[in-house]
Amino acid sequence: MVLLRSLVFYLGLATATLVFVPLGLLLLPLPFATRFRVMSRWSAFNLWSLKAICGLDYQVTGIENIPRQAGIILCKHQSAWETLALQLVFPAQVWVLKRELLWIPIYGWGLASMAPIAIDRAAGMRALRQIVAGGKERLARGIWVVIFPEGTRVAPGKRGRYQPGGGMLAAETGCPVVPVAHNSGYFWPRNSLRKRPGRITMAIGPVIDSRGRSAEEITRLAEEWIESTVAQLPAPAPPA
Amino acid sequence: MKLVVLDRDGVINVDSRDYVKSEQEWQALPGSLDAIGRLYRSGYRIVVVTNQAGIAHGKLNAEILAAIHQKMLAHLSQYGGVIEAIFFCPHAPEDHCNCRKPKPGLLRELSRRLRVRLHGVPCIGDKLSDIEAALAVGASPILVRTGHGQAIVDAGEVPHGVPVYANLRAAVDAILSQGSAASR
Ligand SMILES: [Mg+2]
Ligand SMILES: [Zn+2]
Repeated sequence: MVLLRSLVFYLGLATATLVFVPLGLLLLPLPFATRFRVMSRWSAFNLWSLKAICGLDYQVTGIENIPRQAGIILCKHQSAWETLALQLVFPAQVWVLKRELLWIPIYGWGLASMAPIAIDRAAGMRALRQIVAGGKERLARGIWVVIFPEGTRVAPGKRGRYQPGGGMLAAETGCPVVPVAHNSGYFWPRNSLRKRPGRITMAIGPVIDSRGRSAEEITRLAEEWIESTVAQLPAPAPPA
Repeated sequence: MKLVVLDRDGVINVDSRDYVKSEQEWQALPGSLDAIGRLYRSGYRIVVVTNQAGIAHGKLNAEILAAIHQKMLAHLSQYGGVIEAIFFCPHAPEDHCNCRKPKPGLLRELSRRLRVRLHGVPCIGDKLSDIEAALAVGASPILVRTGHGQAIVDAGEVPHGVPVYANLRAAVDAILSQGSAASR
């Protein structure tokens, strides 16, 4: 049953993608904030159908921590769920992502229309410079920047190595850093189609003031808050 | 809308004349965390709205306050409770800001950010300023005798029609029994 519901959910997601991608290309002449408001309805639809079809809901805590000024979101990465939810919780945003994602037919074109900071992960130092340069430009336009510091999705209970790009961008710009923790991996596991019914918790942490702090310190503070918070979130036992 | 707004000092934790300035100084009132846990598990959303003039007076900073709240949330999670948001005013009375209770600024901010209406929402506090802020936005104030509450009762200053309970546990019991009566 869980598998069948999950397949129906993905059918809806694919259909919505076919609607939204041409829309995204059509809207390109409009300002980013306007396009984001329209395109994030794709995420809103998917999270609604996730609840309606798979019984998977979510709650957000700490929304009062979101500053008015555009900042850098450093978010735990366990599944694709958080890439959807962040769009509904935070203002207009771009994502730092590996450029290979833009090569996926249709879906990648939609992504590309939303001004992502696409990096070549194999490029090392050059990738970090891409994050700082691209991030700086977006932040100057009042657009939030989403970074998954672990670089890739990590299974629940695990911790990836926190990469320095987000901290470097923050130290360089002095923009506020907002750490985000959640437990999506228990409900939306990697490498599985199945969506477990339940309720994901997303916790938004207090702003880390990046002014006068080194990149290393910013990354370390974010990591400490994210990992200690993730450890406190509900960890449902795997289904029998 | 099932939402409850709580004051912090004197309602959830022991108040201090010289401000709660560190994690160590934050001590839950007996039964308060259990009460919040029951409220949450009964389907209520819970938000804290608190004056923290100690920040303006240099007794603590926003980072220490965040650490104190982290402790509160960690202890609360042991009782199966979740606080959705904590809104605080960092100003002193002489700053004449819009957010310090009895001003309704923080409640308005809460309403805007969480996209909820406050009409009729229970607001539990231990001071007249909590009651006045709640009344200003059309919410339903509730006074507890913990913290400064007993002194207000003794002085005969409780505004007409504001219910008074011994502590957060009793106030939560009342909310839950009214809630279940209303849904019957
Ligand atoms: Mg109080
Ligand atoms: Zn204030």
